Amino acid sequence: MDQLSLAVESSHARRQRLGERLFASATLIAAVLVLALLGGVTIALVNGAWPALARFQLGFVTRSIWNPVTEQFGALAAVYGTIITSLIAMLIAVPVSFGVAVFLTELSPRWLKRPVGVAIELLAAVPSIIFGIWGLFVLAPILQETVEPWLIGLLGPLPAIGPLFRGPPYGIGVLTAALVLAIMVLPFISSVMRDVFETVPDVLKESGYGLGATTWEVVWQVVVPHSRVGIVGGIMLGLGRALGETMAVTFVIGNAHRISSSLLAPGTTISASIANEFTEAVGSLYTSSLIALGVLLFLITFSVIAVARFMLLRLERRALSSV
Amino acid sequence: MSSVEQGGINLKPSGRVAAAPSTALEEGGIGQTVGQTTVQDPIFSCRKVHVSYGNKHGIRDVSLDIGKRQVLAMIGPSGCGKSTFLRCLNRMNDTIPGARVTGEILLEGRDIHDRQLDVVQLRARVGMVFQKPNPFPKSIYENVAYGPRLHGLARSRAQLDDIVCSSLQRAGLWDEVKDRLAQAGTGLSGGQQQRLCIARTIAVQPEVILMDEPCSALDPVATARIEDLIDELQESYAIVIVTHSMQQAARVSQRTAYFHLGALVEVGETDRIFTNPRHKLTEDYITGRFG
Repeated sequence: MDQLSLAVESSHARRQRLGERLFASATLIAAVLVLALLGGVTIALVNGAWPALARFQLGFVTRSIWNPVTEQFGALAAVYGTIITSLIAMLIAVPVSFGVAVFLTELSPRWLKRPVGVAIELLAAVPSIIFGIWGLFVLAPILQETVEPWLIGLLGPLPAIGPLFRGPPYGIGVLTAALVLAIMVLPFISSVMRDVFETVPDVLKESGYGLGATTWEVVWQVVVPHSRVGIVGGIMLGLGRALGETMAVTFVIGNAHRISSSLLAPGTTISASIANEFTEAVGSLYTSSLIALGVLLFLITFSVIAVARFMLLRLERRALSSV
Repeated sequence: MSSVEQGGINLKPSGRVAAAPSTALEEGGIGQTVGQTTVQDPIFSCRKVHVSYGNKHGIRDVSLDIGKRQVLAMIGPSGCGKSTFLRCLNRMNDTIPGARVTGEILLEGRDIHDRQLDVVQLRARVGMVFQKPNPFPKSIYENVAYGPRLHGLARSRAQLDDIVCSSLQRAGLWDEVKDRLAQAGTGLSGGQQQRLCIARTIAVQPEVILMDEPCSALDPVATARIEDLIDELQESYAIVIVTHSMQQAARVSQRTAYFHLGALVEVGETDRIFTNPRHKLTEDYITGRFG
């Protein structure tokens, strides 16, 4: 009897151990798979990009010429376009997202909270191709006919920033792409900000209000310091998305491989160039150059994440030591 | 929102009340407040104050004066509306969505719901200490300097240093923290944090200090220190304290108000309330028959 129950128990224990081991190795495989995929992608990219990188060497990054006929390729225009469109997009989207998040968490009447919140989430669900056609057929004509002429008239003659707003109003161009990008990353940044603002304890906010702080003072001096790590995370999420966005940008940026001083002129981004030219890339050097563009994009997004990590680390250390 | 619960709106019609003796219906249940609701030269004068959250009633028909330089204790079972009433006095209920306050609350003769009156100024005059110690995640110095900075009370750094130093001294915390003002306020012990919050409140030089169960998260030693502090502060401020401890109410206050189910049942001199309660509900509560 005793022996029997012992035998039953040990077989149960054995099954348990086996299950545990299976579970542990399954999770290990999943984790290793991610590393293997990342390594594989990197190897494939560098391998594909090698002919172009070997041919042009550093010139691939420092030259802006992009001539498939003479087979001269330099990525500078695309890199510049990628960074400038994303930066302008963040310049627009971050303050607006901050406003949306503050309104939703601190100021909004309760009946308005849900509709606005749901609308933001829906905005995030719109496929990027929709933003592309909307940008091309709706936003670009409006910009060309009204906004850009007005900008040219108002800001063009100014000394420092004037050159950014000169030239003919094309409608499509760097500024249009940046605007579309701003609209696309807005829901991501604002929903992250809203979520982190909501994690600020009520008691902390109330102690601010209790000392006679205004809503603005409570937001700026209590809510923001408390949630700065989350804010940086949200901004980086948006920036990462803006850097890699392809379809919508391809529609509205004009796809011209040149660096123009004016934001109204057509330009290109890395991902837009790849998407736009892959089908018509003849010759291995052309294809290889496009893949090399991909390597650059990979490096840019990687450094953005690295910088974000570094900033977060410093913020956390500061929060621990000095406050 | 947790603050709603702290505000005491969870009127539970069953439970506690069912346990209350049937004699609660004597004198017509909770009718008119028993005892002297008015005082000579009050700092706060409240008439027929009514608070509702959506369709729930927080408190109803509370009329009560608060005297200068004395401690008023508010006692009563959970959810009786004492915290809700407290939060009316600095309009903290404004921060709770759906809260509606009616009735008249005069601060030195001036209606605090007057559109002309700035709620920020009101809260500078009526400071608040919360149930849970809630220092800002900043240094000890910055915690105390926060309010004076907000309201521009100090013209120079030296003056600000003075305010911080004297506020910490009055809160009985100076000797413990004078060598580490730059360290985080959140690194202090619970009792020290609560005294830091009191220092932060008096740094703004308020006229009234509201305390919402300031000792409920503290151990007996820390509680005793806060109670001593209340005794000292009472010489300069009007203090309104919500407490669950009847002993605490008896120790620190001159007047006591007993709340039940959102109504002010009885108010009077603390000695009188605890030795000779006139309302049956008050008697039942302080003798420990429920609550």
